[in-house]
Amino acid sequence: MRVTCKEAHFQYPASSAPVFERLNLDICAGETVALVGPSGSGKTTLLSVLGGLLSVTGGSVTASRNGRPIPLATSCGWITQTTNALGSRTALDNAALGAYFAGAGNTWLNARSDAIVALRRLGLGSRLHSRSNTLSGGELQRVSIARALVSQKPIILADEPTGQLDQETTDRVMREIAESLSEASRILVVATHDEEVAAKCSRVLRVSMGMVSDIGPLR
Amino acid sequence: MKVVREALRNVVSRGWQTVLLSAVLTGVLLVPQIWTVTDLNQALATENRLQSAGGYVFALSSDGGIEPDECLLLRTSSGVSASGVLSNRQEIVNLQASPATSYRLWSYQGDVPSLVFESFESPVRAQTEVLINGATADELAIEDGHSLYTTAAVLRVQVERSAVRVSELGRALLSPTPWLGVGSAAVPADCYVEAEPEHYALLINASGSLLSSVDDPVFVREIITRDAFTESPWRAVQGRSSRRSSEVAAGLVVGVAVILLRLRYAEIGLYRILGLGRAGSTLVQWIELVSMLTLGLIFSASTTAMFVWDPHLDTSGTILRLGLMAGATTHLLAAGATLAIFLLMPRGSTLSLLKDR
Repeated sequence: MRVTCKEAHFQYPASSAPVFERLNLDICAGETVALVGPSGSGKTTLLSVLGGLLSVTGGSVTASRNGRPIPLATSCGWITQTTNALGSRTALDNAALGAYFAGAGNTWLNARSDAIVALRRLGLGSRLHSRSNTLSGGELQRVSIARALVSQKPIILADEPTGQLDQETTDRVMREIAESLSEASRILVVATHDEEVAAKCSRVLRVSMGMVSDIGPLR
Repeated sequence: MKVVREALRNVVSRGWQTVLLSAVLTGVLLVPQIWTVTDLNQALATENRLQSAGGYVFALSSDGGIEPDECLLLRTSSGVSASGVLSNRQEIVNLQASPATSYRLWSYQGDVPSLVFESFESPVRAQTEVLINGATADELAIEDGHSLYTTAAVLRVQVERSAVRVSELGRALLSPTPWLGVGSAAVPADCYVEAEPEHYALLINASGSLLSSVDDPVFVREIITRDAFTESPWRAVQGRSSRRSSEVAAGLVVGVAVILLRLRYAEIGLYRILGLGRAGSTLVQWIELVSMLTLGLIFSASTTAMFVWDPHLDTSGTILRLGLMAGATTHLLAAGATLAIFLLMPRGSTLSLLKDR
């Protein structure tokens, strides 16, 4: 599994300056990459480009497995910055959706079983059947993480996944994410302001002033 | 198939929300109705503006309903009484009550009534038999000791003096005297009596009965403004809710619509990043739209059916009807929000759909 950016360039139509330009990047299976930088520097935009939600305005961004190209948009599991969930559905339902739509053979029952395991590992065992609109921001964020992890997508893109979590929960969540990803050699790209989270990644990219610089691991 | 199942799971999971919202809407609409029904005197004391603007029409009911051709007798503490009878014939009999009883037969040709017979025997003697058009019919007890035989002959509308009128199927209005009036309807229904403001208290405290069943008391079920009465039955029911209640309900509906739009927007974004893509997430919304629309139409049809079945309901019937109306509103609102999403969705990229708004 590999994600490759070649001379990638992105600029919003209404903007006079590019968010990034001439970006060359290779992310391989099993890598965990942190995107750091000040607010408004373009971390979420880069994440969206990597996930196929935005198209580059120059160059290319591709994903491949065993040398064969695969579509980016359907290869990514998302942990969104905003706490997106179906409010009328339970935490379990919301988490199970990730696995349910991940493959044609996944039944609703199997998806729920996977989701139960993931939610319990993330500390939400007692909230499985609570409706999403009764969950706190931190709980919703963990539901979103569980949804992405059970999706079995080869690339996980996380936008501030621990923004609403305390330090103890952050450590637990990051540990679970790391374990889950290493089992399947998946790629994690995480946009974060949290240096502790960045320090747990194998590689850190700093996004600033239209430039993306690879500064290696923090520790 | 997965998409269809997912959409149906969504519809089911939203059930409690629509029930809750329907209950709140029902409550908002019901409060002024309960207030109107249970506190007539307060209504009269406080609604001076309405009184001076056009007066009230009093809706009289009996538990068994007021049948066609029924005679309704009202007595007040001052001894004033009046009675009359309406039928489906193309004639009008207007019977004025004590102290000087007279009776008139009106023929009704098209929209033009014409007086064909008038009597000024004052007062009517006990057991006086009056034949009109050679036919006798119901007995009308006008006052103690007096009785009058006449054809029960009127139709849906009566005209007398300057007071007009009415009406539509299922409603009738009589105001043959300045103080009280009597009416009935072409189908079992309430009887509507219009009174001048100075006689409101008299009418509220009047004792009423049906000639055919003196044990079946007639009571003032509610009062409605004359303007509301002259509207269609459907609009009259709506008009009974106070303006404030309507404003609250409208505000609630608009607020819910905005929230629904916001939620639906985010949901589409969520489905897209789950891998359903534009077509799949659109299909989910379509299925929900059709489901909500169907439920909304069922509620609407039930509300209409209740109206056709019985335009004038008791309190529990009113609550049920309002509940159905609220159910229809809620589901059609949800369908409308989904429809709006279809119009707005082409503008939204997945990224913008996922942002907090």
